[in-house]
Amino acid sequence: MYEYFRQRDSIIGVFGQDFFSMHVLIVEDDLETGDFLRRGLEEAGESAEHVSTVDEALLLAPQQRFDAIIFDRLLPGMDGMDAVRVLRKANVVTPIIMLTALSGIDDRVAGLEAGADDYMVKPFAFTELYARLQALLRRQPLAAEVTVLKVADLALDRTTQLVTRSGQPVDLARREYKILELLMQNVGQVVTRTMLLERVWGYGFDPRTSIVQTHVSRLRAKVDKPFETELIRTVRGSGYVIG
Amino acid sequence: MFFGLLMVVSIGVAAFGALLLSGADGEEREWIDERLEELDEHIREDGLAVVIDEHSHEFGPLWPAEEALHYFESDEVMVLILQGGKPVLGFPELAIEAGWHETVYVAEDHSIDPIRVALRARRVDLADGISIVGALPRTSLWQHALTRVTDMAALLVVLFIAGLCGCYFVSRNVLLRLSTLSSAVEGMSLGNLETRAGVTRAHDEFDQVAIDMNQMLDQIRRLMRNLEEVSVGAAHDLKTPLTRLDQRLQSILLEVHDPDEIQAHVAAARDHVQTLLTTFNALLRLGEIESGKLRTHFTRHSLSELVTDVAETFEAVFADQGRQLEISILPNIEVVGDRDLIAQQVSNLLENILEHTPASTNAWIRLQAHTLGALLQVGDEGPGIPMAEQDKVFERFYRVDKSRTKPGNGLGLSLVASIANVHGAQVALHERHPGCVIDITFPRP
Repeated sequence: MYEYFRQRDSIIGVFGQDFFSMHVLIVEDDLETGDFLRRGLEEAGESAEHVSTVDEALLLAPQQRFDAIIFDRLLPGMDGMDAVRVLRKANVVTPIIMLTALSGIDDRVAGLEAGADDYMVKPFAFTELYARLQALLRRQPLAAEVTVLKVADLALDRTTQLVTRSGQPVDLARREYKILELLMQNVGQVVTRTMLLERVWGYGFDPRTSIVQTHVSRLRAKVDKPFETELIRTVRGSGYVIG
Repeated sequence: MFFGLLMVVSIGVAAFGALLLSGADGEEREWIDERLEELDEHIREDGLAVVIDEHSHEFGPLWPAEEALHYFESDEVMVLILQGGKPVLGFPELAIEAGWHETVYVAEDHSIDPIRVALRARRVDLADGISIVGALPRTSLWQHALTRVTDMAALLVVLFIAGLCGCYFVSRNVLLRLSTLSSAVEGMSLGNLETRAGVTRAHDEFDQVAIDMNQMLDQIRRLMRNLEEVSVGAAHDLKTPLTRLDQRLQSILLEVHDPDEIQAHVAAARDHVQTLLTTFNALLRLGEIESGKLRTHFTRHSLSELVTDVAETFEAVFADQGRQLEISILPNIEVVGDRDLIAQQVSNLLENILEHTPASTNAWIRLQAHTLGALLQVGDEGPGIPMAEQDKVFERFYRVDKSRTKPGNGLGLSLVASIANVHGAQVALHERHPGCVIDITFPRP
């Protein structure tokens, strides 16, 4: 984790602390988990408020001063999913990540349908959650219509699906292209292995073998190896980052 | 229940009796009228003298009270013929005015006990000053009706008793058969896994139930045995990473002043926790699959594309390990199922080869149309699975590697079997020389 934050700090150094700093509302009845999340976020230079009941959450969330909400699914008194539905009806558009102990595919779909933006199964690594939070916040201003993604001398054209580096075409397999596209949509932010599995492969299960690692290293062999600077870096124990 | 039935029966009998009695009153008049008409005809045809002569008793034309007793018993209509108001034939005590009467027969004869009998009587006046009287004792009618009622009631009682006896024997038989079934279940619940219900040669419904129950008991025994093995396997598989985790934590305590060492221990500790979580997730996933609730998400899609997708993903992993994965997939084969589950199934089969065959062992995956549906085959050129282990590899936590030192949690093939099961697919394991082949036959969509 240390290494990851060190890398992140260098990025913050470029853009400035305030640009990146987020304010997160944590709705979690388990005090230990809530505390773990709050500390993790503060350690990463963000700020967080922790409440443990649905009532408090419904009172605070509409104030619109949060950049994101982390919502536990199983709260006493009300299903977190119903609470999210209530917030969405009240026009609260803050991105919401739902946490749950239920791993069913049904539950995941139901959570997203209720209006959550992402869905994570407990237990999870903090880095995974943080990466997803950043991806959610980053995704907001990035219009889906952006057709050419650029990182340094690397360019990816989403209409022609052509990738070039320093003007030279790079021939990628279908999956390698999709991995690169996802990384380039989240420049400077960690894309975790689970996120890649979900969004590139569409798998909801966790393979025991390192299929993501294998395909990323093939991508790197084509995108980075022939050139002087490496654009894609591994964030140990977490995922990959470009830029 | 029993008294209720009795009440219904007695009310029925009473109602039937009342009906009979009300009918008897009308019948009584008919009988009297019939007898009178007969007598009238007789007199008109043969003359009074002949009639008197024919009916005369040994005591003369007028019959004694003693004789009346026979009439009372036999329900015969008593008669009297009057000529000019004087009795000429029959019972003189019946002398009454013309028309219907309810009268009382009184006889105080020295030869018998005094008699008083209520009668219904009718006097009809014929020509030539001749009158005829017919009478029936009311008591005898009541008795008659009552006899019929009693007969009826007796019949009902007999039927009732016969019914009860029948019920008793039938239910005794049923209860006996049921008690053998219940004692089998009881034996099982007391922990005797070998108890089975007896099956007779009757081949009736009870035997069918006993056979079904025995199959169920076999299944329960099998599951319980399996559970015992699973518990031991699970305990072992969960204990190992916990022990290692504990060792790492102890190391941190010992080397608390060396940040680099601590980092290494924490990273290793997290790996062990990850192993535990992976096992738990696999168990939860198994439970989720076996509950069957995922069936609601089944859709029809291309199995060819799905398998190609997973196979090509793994082809790279095989290549990185210096192995070859030969892919041969026929296009346009469809299946009804859950995409994610089938992808997991195929990936588990391939991971199984990566984990359990020696380095550089080649493998192949094939998908073809089959008479029964789609046949997916995954095979390798490794040492194969020993015959004795073949039935067990699909059981949870079963490891061919008894030392449990190789990676894996013994759940991979259980998941494969469960996913096949929820899709109605058949799984078969073939021993080939060399290597092992797993067949999965998906039903035609």
